Amino acid sequence: MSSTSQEQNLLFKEKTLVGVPLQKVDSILKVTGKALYTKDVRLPDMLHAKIKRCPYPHARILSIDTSKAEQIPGVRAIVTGKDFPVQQNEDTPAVAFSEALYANQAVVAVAADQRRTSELALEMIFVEYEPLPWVTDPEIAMTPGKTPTKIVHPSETWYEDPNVGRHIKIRKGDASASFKECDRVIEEKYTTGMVSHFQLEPVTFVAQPDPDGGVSVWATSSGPHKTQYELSRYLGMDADKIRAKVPFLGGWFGSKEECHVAAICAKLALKADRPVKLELSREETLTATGQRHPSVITVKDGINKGGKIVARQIRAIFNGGAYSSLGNNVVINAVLGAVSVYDIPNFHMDCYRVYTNEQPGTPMRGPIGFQIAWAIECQMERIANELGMDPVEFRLKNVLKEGSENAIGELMESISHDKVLEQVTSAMKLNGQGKSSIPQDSTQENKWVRGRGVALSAKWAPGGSPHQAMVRVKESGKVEVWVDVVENGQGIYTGITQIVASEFGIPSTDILLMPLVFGSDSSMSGLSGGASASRQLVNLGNAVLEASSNAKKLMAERASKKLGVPSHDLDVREGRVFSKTDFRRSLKISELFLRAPIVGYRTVASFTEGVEFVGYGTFYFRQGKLDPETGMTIGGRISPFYMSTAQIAEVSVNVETGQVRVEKIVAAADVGVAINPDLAKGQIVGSVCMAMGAATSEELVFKDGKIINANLADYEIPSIFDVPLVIPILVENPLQNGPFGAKSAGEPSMFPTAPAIRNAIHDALGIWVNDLPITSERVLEALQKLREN
Amino acid sequence: MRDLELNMVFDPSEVLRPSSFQDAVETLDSSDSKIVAGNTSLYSLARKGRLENIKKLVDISKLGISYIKEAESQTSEEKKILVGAGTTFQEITSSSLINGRPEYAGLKEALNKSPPQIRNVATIGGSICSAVSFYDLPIVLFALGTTLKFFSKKEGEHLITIDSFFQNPALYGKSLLIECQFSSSPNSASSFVKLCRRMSGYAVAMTAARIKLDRTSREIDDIRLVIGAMTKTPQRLNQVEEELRHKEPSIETITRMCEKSADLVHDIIPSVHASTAYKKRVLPILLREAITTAVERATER
Repeated sequence: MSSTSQEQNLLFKEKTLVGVPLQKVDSILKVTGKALYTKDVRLPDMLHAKIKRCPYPHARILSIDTSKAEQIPGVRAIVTGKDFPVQQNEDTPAVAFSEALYANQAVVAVAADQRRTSELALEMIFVEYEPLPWVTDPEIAMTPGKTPTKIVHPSETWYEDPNVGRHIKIRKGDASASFKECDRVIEEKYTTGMVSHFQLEPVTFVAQPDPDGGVSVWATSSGPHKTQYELSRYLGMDADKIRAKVPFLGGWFGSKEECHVAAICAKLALKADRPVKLELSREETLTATGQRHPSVITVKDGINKGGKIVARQIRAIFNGGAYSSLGNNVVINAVLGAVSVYDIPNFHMDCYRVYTNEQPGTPMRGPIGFQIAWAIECQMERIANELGMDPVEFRLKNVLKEGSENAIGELMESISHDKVLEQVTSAMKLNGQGKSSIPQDSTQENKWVRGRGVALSAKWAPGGSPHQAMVRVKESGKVEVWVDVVENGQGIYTGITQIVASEFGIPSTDILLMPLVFGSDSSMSGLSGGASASRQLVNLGNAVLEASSNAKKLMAERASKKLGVPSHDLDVREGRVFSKTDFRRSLKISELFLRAPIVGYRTVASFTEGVEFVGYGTFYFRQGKLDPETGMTIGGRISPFYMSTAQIAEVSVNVETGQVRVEKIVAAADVGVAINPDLAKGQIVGSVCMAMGAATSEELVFKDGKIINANLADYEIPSIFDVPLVIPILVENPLQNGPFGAKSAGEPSMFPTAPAIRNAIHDALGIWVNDLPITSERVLEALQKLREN
Repeated sequence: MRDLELNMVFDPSEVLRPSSFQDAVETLDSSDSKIVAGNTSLYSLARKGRLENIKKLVDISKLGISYIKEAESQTSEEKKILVGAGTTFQEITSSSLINGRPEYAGLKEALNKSPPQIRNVATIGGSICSAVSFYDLPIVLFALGTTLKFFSKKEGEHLITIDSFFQNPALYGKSLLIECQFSSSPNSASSFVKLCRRMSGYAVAMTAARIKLDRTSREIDDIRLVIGAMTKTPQRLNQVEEELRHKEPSIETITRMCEKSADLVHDIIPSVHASTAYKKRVLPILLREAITTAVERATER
């Protein structure tokens, strides 16, 4: 059935597109190659920029000689740290000023007529460095007397000596005292490596000087307003003179919060007074832009005889790299991840984000939560095993229940921890959970052993950023939607279209989503926090619903006189304004418009007297703070809601080589209400595949302070041949304040995959692997250890 | 340290399409030329800065060296297959001369490890002449005891063994590989075993075996064992071969001999995600699997 006829049938019956698996509104554009990406932007007289980067993990810049490069014909602009208003001490500067703090940090940038000329110019720029001591191990970096260097950013308000960018404390109850009274105390250390988002589209910017002295920037960014305001800070320019546009994104996953790169591009354009394109190569994207924070997390638990966790103490250290970028903010997610699943009366946590001489840690799909979920769910399995308890039963015994309070004082509402666990266990449980139930190869020579493992997590959706929307109802009954909404492949254009279409009771083809036409543009839409933190659908969805409601009110007021019905009794649906109590009293939307000649007498256009039928909406969740000493929330919640997610993985492990083959993953996620079930399932499957890569094969490896595998051959992301059977299960527990009850699906399913795989490996072979990625070598080492013991 | 971006500088100014072997090798005389066949590794070499001096690309697609056929003079004991150096992986893997024949089963396994994007363009000659240890196909060709037909300005057409080639691939930089020849005989079979981190990834370690069983005694009459991705160039395990030759291929004997192999290879190099120690540990396992598989296949004939 075609999408349109499918829609018509459903509209006829339900008058809503919520829950309809519509084809993505942008799919035709993408498969025909018509969708515009930043890389496609070509402007007249456009220059091409390249960046010269520091070869040392830490070095003082003694001199930069650009004189020879300046003489090369075609070189139009060169920028160094001195070109930016705030230079020294800036956290995450556009270009290094006096010191470069990580290998491949930008030191000089050139814009020239041809890309090749820019490359040649880089060769003719001479930078003199004094190599300085460097540190990449966060545990050493944060230890007084041990760290060889201090990476100080005085502008960071949370700085603690030495090299701690942020330290968050949670103190609920008395964990230390409780341990003494517990029957069992189990302490383990877990680590994760540096992982890349590896989005298909590398970081790219195009900047064009505007006639008013401002600048327009096309950006691979998660939100035009983010880029606009960040650029304002970097350039020292009034934000109103900066126009940021985000066309389609070729994947994001948190990777493109690189406004310091946008600043280089914009500065070059302003200096050359010509448009400039700056495209980072794959190597630059891997070595010089932010990646997922590596982590070292120690979890200590005290458990009583019945299997209840009485006390938990977590020390989580995140390698933040040389700068904060967004890192010192998002590290709070460690807390949200740690408190969102289990009900533990005595809970202590110390979470550190530590500066080192690596590229800055940045948000990545479920930022920080991925690492915390890894540690906690590995630990949960460990405890269940030591207690001899069923891992699902043990988790259920300890989960937070609906209406209970988490360790930072938030009320847990609309959670489905029990439900997602039940769903995955019943989907996977053919003969009971665990190795004994899995058919094993009966041949003696078979070296592949199967196992199953479970993990449970929850994702938050931090508020903090306002989201605004505007809708305009046309004479035809079609509805224009003006929002800063960023389509990175997740399907948000379709989601927003379905929400507005449902609100007006019209087909999706009657929704004119303007970012689909122009891209998302800071000068054409209200403020938005963009595509991040599992909040775009909820926040923008609520904003467009409010905007739609306000546009309807204006129409009702106008129609009220004509129909002789009070405006509060009127609603607008299916192209008509009608009385809610007497459907016969209605008029077409077109009857609210006047028509007048616009070109001679032949061409007429419609208009409204007085205000247009334009509605505005703003959704703003005012976020509270954590008390610096206790970690309890002050002034409101941190996360307005949480989303439960659980998975069971089935793996085969080769006992001789340590190879792990992920065979199957059942993944359940509470999405509230699935606006588009196919897209929601797609998000679950995509998350699982991405997390599986981080679990089994992906890691950026450092040697002498530099990454040595910044290419597709050595940084191994799973291909389609490696992807297991993934069975997504949507659990629908409507969110009271969500648009039509929707929550989110983009990030939560990232969390349980890695621990579920690891727990399945334990089920298969009885070994514990506490470090990510789970390489064959690590599996074999663990097996060796097991055999020796 | 050289700038990453500068390493990408690659600026060929000419693409030459010689129509004869003679013309082709003339172009190889200058140090600024490079042969292009399937064009699967040129870009990665350029990005690594290894083609900075290259100005001329020599496209050999017009030389008529894409074919796979049986040699005209065949004995009943030995069948020889001739594969033009420009033949793609896909052409080889879909050939009836290769399919279903245990002696070439290893070849098929290696070819099928490549994704279609590679299989459709990569050539057998390119995979050999790249002379890297981590390409799958040359490991099997090495195990098959392939003979390579080169054309050089000095010697014209001439044959060398693949063993000689891998002893010093640099010697053949000015020559053009035009054909690979490998033979099969009754009671022989080959196998290929690769350990990789993902299905289409480069090997962490790999082995190939070709085994000929004695028709009457069923002992190992001849054996060739090759390892790849462990040492700088593919390496033959002569000592292990020697130990197994004329032995009954029981699992115990094979396992015992394979266990010695790790101590016989001294120059194992680590890769990004696998240490030397790990490679040493898995070498006997891969080798055992390759040998037992080849023996099974030869026995079934």
